[in-house]
Amino acid sequence: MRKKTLLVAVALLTALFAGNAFCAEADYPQKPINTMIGFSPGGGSDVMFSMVRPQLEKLLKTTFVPIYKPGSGSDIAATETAMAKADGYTVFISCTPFIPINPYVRQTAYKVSDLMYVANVVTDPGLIVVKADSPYKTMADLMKAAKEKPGAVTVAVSAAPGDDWFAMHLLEASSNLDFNVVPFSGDGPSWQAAVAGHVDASSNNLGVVYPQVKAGGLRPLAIMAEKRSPYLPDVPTFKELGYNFTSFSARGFAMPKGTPKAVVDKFAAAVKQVMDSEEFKANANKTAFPADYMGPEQYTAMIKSLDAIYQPLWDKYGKAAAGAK
Amino acid sequence: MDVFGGLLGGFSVALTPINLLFGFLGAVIGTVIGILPGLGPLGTMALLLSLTYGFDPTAGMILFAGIYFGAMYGGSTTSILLNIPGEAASVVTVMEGYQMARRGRAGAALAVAAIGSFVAGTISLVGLSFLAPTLARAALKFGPAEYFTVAFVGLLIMTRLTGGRLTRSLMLIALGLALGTVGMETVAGYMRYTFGQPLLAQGIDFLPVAMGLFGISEVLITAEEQHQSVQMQKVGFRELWPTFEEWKRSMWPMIRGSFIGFFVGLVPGPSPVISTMVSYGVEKKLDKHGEFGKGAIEGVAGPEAANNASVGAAYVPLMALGIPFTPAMAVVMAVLLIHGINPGPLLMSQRPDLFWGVIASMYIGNFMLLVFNLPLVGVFASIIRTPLFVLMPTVMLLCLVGVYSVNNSMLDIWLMIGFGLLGYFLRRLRYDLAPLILAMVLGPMMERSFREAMMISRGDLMVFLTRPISATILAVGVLAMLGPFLFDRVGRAFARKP
Repeated sequence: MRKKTLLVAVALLTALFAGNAFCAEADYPQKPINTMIGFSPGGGSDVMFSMVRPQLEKLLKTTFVPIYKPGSGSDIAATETAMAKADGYTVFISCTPFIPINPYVRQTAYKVSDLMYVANVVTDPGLIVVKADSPYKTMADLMKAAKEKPGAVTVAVSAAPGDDWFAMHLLEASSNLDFNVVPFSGDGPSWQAAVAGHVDASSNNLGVVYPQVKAGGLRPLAIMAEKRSPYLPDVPTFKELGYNFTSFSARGFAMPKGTPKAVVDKFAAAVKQVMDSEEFKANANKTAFPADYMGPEQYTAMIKSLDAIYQPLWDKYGKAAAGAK
Repeated sequence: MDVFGGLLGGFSVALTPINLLFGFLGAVIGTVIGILPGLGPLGTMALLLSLTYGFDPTAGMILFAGIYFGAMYGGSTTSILLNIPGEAASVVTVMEGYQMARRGRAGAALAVAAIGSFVAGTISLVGLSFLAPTLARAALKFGPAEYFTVAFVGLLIMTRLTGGRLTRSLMLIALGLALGTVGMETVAGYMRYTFGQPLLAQGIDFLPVAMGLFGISEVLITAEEQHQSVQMQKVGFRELWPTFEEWKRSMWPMIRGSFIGFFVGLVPGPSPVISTMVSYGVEKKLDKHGEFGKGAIEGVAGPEAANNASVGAAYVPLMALGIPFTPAMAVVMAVLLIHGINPGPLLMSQRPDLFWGVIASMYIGNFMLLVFNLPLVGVFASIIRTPLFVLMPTVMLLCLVGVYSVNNSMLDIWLMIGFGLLGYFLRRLRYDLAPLILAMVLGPMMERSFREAMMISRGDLMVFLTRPISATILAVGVLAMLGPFLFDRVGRAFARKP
């Protein structure tokens, strides 16, 4: 009896992992696709994946198996992707600026060129938020407080170095002010600390905090984009306020180097088709998901272009900070 | 909003056939993954997320609630029967539960764990239905400084929990904390003790350590004892159920455990773990039978109730404010996001069908789990009637498969074997292993919240004393540590005076 129970259980587990591979199509994909996610559930990569996953599964007639390997600013998941078979059955949720800045910041087991950049899904602008009943009603209030008490205004960021962390350095540089920047373990804990009032503000991303903004828990002060977001038309850009910088986190799909072009193109086309659908657009609209499709060439070029932005920033702020610690 | 009206509406949603089916499915899946060490509720929910697309978000939420509660129900089974804690929240259950099994009271331990889980689930659901918004706001008052003090005091209490000398538990706690530092440090991204192994960058997982320390070492020790023909006590089927005396002794621990679990569970972080430690500590303090360490039923009833009550509590911040404090809650939130629903303070008024439907389904799911689990008690309890030469290799296999299934990593297998040997030697030297593993689980969270608190206060240690909640927790901890000692001294001082 007991052995039987065990056997059944083990069989169940195996089935769960092997997934069901009865796809009749001779073409890719013929089996479930492992999806490497480099951050804890609930973060930006998870939100992005949740938005496209249902339709993408329907379209590609397969299932995605999410594998969470959080830590090291997605390095663990990126390393495993780089080492995986280049057959299209391992995709990685790639987030800027971790890709491409991590291999520059520290010794990683993979190179930026070990990955093929398949499709970008979202480009999420940075946003500074405070608690709904915070005394800081506008960005000017927050800047004034930072001026009066240098280094006393605490701002949570998701990680060091992450896009929010770079953004705070850009803000400090363009305003000549000093903030107390506190790295939390992800953008989720960062905005939660702001809602609870443990920090004065959180430097975060629009798509991540929008639900709380909409629900009235957080107040947005200023957005780090070229122009205002249609979702938050009343929130000024930093450029309007006289701070000349923008910041964003782009998230998309990457595969190991050497994945056949036909596979990459098919995956990218499927992502595009999903993102063009009315169903996706309606959902994106409801959750303020700043969709931004880029195909393989454009996405690869975008990743390349980031080196020129972030490497000097890291040289200037990161090395100094790492040395000080 | 009228709670009873809401609940009534909720039951009308939850009792539709499709939602009942999802509740049942969740309960079954949850129990299975809870029993099998390895894949936990978080991984299961992430895998099954795609099942929920085609249905109403309420159905998805109900499925996940069933899985989450079910996993906690099932989690105690391997702890009691095989000395293998499948998750951190059932480490404490091992201490008395396995001893009970060795005395032939496995059935009683399993039954009390199941009923305790039901009682606790119900109490925490009542708390969730009536007090969610108020409690959620209170939970927000806990910041990094408080997380640190809660975990710190939890460890302090831990030193008093296990038998043996203080220095011994302190040594194991130090070793556990050190193991917790392996991996990439979260603030500046430095690697610690990874020896160039990229796989160690995410740190040492709970499972290989727990299964090694407890499961593998048990197999080794049993193999050794067999020469001395020490066998587990065999019992007849009729003796599987708890006696009246055992019921009576577990009733109050269950109720106390439920309240402890619910209130400690509101604090974000690894609160289910801390709640089981606190509950065990309380029961040990109140114990009148002197059986702790040798299989006291109170030590199963209390902690098992506590870890289940903390599940209900984990839902409080998510349902009331839309804040997922734990990774598992973040996956639950994804069900809502996929359907374009923004969870937040307005969920209760904008989607009362969903809010109350989910809560009502938790009541139903909790009842289903009890009905589903009680008959299993007999089945599982008879496992220990299996001859040891079959049982022990199966346990070994279960550990190997379970550990490998989580990260598909050979490194985890080697770690488990290494910790198995360590566990074997430590147990031969009569060390209690619970403090080691609990310190390892709490360590990273303690370090992170300590550093966050320090950065927010810009290096001022007084922040732990000036924040009222943190100071209160510290005071309680110090009292719990020094209390017995002080009272003893004072008592003796008075006694000396004529």
